[in-house]
Amino acid sequence: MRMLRSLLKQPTFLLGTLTFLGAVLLAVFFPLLNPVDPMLRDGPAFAAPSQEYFLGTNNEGQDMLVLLIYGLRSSLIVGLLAGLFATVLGTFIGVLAGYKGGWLDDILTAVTNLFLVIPSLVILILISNSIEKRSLGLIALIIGASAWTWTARSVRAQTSSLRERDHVSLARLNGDGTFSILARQIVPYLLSYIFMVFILQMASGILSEAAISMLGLGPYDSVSLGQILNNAQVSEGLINGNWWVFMPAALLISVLTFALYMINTSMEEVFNPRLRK
Amino acid sequence: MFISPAFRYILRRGGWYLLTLFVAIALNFALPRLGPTNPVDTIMTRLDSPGMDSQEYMRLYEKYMRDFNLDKSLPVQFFTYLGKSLQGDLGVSFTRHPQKVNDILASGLPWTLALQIPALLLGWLVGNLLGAYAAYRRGIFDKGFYPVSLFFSSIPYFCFAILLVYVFAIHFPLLPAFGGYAGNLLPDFSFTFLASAAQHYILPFLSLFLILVGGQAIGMRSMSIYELGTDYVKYAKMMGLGEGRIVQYIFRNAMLPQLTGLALSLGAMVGGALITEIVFSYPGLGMVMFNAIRENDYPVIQGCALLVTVGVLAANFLVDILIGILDPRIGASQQAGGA
Amino acid sequence: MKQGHFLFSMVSLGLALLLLGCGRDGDGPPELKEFPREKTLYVGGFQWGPPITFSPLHITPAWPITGNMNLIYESLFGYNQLSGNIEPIIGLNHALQGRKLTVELNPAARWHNGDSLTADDVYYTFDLHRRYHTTFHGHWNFLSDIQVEGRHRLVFTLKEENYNPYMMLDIISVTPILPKKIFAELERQASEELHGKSGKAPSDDEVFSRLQEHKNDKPIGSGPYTLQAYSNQTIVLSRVDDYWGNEAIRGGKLPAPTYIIHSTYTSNDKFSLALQQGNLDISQNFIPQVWTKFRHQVGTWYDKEPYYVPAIIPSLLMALTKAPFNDPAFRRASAHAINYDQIKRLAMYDYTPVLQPGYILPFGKEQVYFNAQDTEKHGVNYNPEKAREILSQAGYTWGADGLLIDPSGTKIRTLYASCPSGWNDWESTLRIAVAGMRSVGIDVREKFVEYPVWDRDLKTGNFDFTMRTPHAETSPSVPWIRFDKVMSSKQWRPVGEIMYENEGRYKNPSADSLLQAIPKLTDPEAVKEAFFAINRMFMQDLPVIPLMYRPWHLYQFSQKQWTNFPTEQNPHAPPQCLFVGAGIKALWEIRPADRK
Repeated sequence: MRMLRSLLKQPTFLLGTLTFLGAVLLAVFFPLLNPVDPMLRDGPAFAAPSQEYFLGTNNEGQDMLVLLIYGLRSSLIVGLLAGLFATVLGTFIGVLAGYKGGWLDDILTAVTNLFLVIPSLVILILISNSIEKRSLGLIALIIGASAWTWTARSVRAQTSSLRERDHVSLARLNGDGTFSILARQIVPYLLSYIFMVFILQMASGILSEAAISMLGLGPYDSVSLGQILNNAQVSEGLINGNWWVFMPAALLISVLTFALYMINTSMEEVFNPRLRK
Repeated sequence: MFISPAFRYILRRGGWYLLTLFVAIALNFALPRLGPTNPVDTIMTRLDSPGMDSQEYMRLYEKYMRDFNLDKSLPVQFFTYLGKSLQGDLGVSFTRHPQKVNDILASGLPWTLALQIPALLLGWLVGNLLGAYAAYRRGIFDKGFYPVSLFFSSIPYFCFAILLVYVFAIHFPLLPAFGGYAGNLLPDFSFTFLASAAQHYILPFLSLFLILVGGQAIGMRSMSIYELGTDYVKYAKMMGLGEGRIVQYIFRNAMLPQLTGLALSLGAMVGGALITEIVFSYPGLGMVMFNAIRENDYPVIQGCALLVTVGVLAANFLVDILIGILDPRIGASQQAGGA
Repeated sequence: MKQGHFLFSMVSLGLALLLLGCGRDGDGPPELKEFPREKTLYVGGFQWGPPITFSPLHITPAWPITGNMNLIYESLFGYNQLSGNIEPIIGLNHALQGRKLTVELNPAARWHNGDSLTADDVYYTFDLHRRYHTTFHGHWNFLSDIQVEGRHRLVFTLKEENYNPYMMLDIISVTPILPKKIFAELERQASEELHGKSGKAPSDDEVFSRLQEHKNDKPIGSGPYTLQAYSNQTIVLSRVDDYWGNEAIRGGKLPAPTYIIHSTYTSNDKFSLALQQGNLDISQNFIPQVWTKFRHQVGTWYDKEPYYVPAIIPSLLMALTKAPFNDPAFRRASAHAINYDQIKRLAMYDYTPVLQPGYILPFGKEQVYFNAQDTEKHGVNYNPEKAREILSQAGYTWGADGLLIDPSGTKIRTLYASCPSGWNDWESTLRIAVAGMRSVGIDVREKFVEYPVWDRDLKTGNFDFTMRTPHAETSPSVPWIRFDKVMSSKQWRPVGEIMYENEGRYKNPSADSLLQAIPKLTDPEAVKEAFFAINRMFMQDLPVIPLMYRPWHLYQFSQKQWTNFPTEQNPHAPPQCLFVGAGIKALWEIRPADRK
């Protein structure tokens, strides 16, 4: 509680959280209140922003504002799923390795470090290219699967410092099983840390989706911010000076990431008193 | 025989990197083959010969499968590939037959190295210096600097690249928008060519450099704030040491974790930089790989991925060695644990 | 500073490697490395990756070896899409009598090495395609023999059972003529080498494989240009100043550009930008909103809609052998559900006139075969109401979810409409078509697949709807061949086997006999009636759904460096990008622009 109160005193935390929540609310409620088909092509091609089309239209005469909000929704979904997956998997491997130690730790650490150095984007491109039907969920899964490594690494380090704490030893003496100890004695103490990692994973999930969509390897079943960027590039919107097909989406991705980074760093400052001043 | 602890540490790391390399090679082999088509399908699409019948088509199809060894079992293909890669022979391109993969990679590698190495090193150096300075000064400079860097590090590489092109090559046509050199030149050592290459270098370099500076500065700032709270800094301040001197101390101490951080994020950075190359049609490995992926050209995809992986591994190894040399604790722990 | 040293050495290492690599980058002749902008014509859009080989026997030689570009190797004649005629290049004239086509060669024609180009070379070239499975091997489905009659005259004998003068004109205007002396020597070397290796006489296939490996990067052609150099980014041609045709066919002038450079960019937007910035003079790529480029001195054939000369018809193919596509009512309803005007406006930026039903272009040389009454009576246009009406009359119903149920009472499965992924204007077109068909209850979804997958599924007939341009060029055999490629069952094979045309597997004996009869007709009135009849059949039966008209070449030019490009107002050459077919004569007409 004290932590939360001091968090709320941080302007960067407030700004980041409000921005992020605003994005989430927009993505959830706009489609509910305004049930239009984002793919509807009723405008002229490349109409400039006006009263009618607040953010203009794209090459297919689609309303950019509606498209952006649906894109935002897909990007948030990818970010959440990928972040969740990477965090859960990474945390599991991290606490297991850090708590058990010994040969299991050696193996898990080796595997983690191994995948850590292999460029994940290269792997991501290779896998995405091989899959014929790339749904949004599947892409999130692939991104998460290629990003769990650094979560595992940092969680492991945190866990080994907890391992010899009294309450853990006590539970061990009580004869509690490994997983019960992990769930009751280790993970709760790492929650704030894991949450910070999750925030970062979400940001990198959103960026990764944008990167592979930009290469034309994006989801086939939905509009994402990365796909809007890709389409802006392919339809040569920017070259012709139609900035509205590119800039808002680029800005939205950056702001979303920025908000998540702000949440992360402000939390870091609160949990790490020495950073405060 | 006496082996110094630092050297033993380096040997161990080296062995570990070899293992990683093996796994990377296996992945590079397996992943492109997950796809629904093989490169022979790609080749066959080009055979638009009216009147060719199915038997003729299948005969040609099978001939290409044999030519490219795709009719062999996967393990056979893998060990052939492994054996040849270890000898430095990455095979022959399928779709650019009969070009050698080595030659295709050799034409892209220099551009990628020339773009990425300076961008990475300078970005790292400048970012860390700025971060340390911001941490030390705090106040107005930090208040402005910190959010700007944070924002820069939030922009996707390629968005920033496209933005730079739009502003400096399209809206104000000051610099070339894409390519490695002007279209009326063939690569050689002449002054004209080098000047043109330099002109084409500016935007891709900046797009990598600036974002890297942002990301590194953020990390270094936090590290340095840590260091600022330590006793030695307080002591140095009390002693009235110069500002530059103190920043230098802080920098040196905060640098080690930053160096490790660099090693860990190198893979991600190189990946991002490859996409930058694609945005700029820069004739480097990113472009080679992108084209090969579009054509399902396994040997070239494998070769690229392998080269990038080897590069990242080598850079990591280099950083490890640096840490081994710079960090006195490593020597001590090796001596203690190695008994 | 330790770091400083390290940094410095890494940067210098990088630069050293860069220089080292550059030396290896180009494999071409090393002499000339820089080409003056004002003497060079930059072209783009014909080659999308690094050049690999210049062998005319390879499947995909680099620009400008095949594809009807008369720059290095020339064909006998060149097609002019405006007049619909073929114009003399190496050939002087041609005359058809019965099954014999006599071609007279220009006696002035010679190779770059000074040798005369004779009937022997022509015979050798065609014979090469007969003996080996080259891309032109299929031409021999229409040819039965060739005789050399003297140094400059040949007689082509057309096949009796496949008698087709249209195709014959195609054949003599697309086949680049090769120098016998050089290629016969290559053949001899190849077979000798193979013989030496295996100890037995090699098969034709082996010799051909071997021949294809020859890179031919110092080609001896007969055309106005020759290969000067190439790198991964460029192909450089330089002018042959003593080209035989300058005197013999082009009125004693030299073509204007000293160099022609093809830049190989990798995506459309790069070509557009280069054209807009004046780094490219001719470009053959899809540019969205091309009119926005006019202020950058970019031009097109027409300075207003439709900007390009429409010539080909991208269509929606259907798998006609399986349900529900085997029901003509279903096909007709699908066609009524597609909003063609939206395709024209949003997917094609109005680069196409209003689509008329049927498979005849209602303008240009085909206009005479267009029958307005038939079109009115049998044609299909956008009308979703009508689509629903046709479906319910044919016994279809709609379920609670609004999706279609066939007359037997089973729900129609989800159908897929495919096209290669990344073909942006095609993807847009398909999305619009799918949205329209969904609006009448047809459960169809877009499926964008990788080109090789799409291509394989197309040829084997494994698709529901797929987008494809059955005949993607224009040639003397149009419009006959356009119908032939979607209605003829002469190459018919069951689904699963390869077909290069009529991939929807349409089979109709009366269409077959009509298609076989048309080429044999000589009376213009009879030809007209026959085309009316086949087009009627097309409109009634809808073997494919035409989606839009599209130009053969997306011909667009920049007037920053060169001027006097052929346009509607100044039609000194057809809109064929200055070197395709008869379009090549434009090279003698363009002039350097005045530079301020």
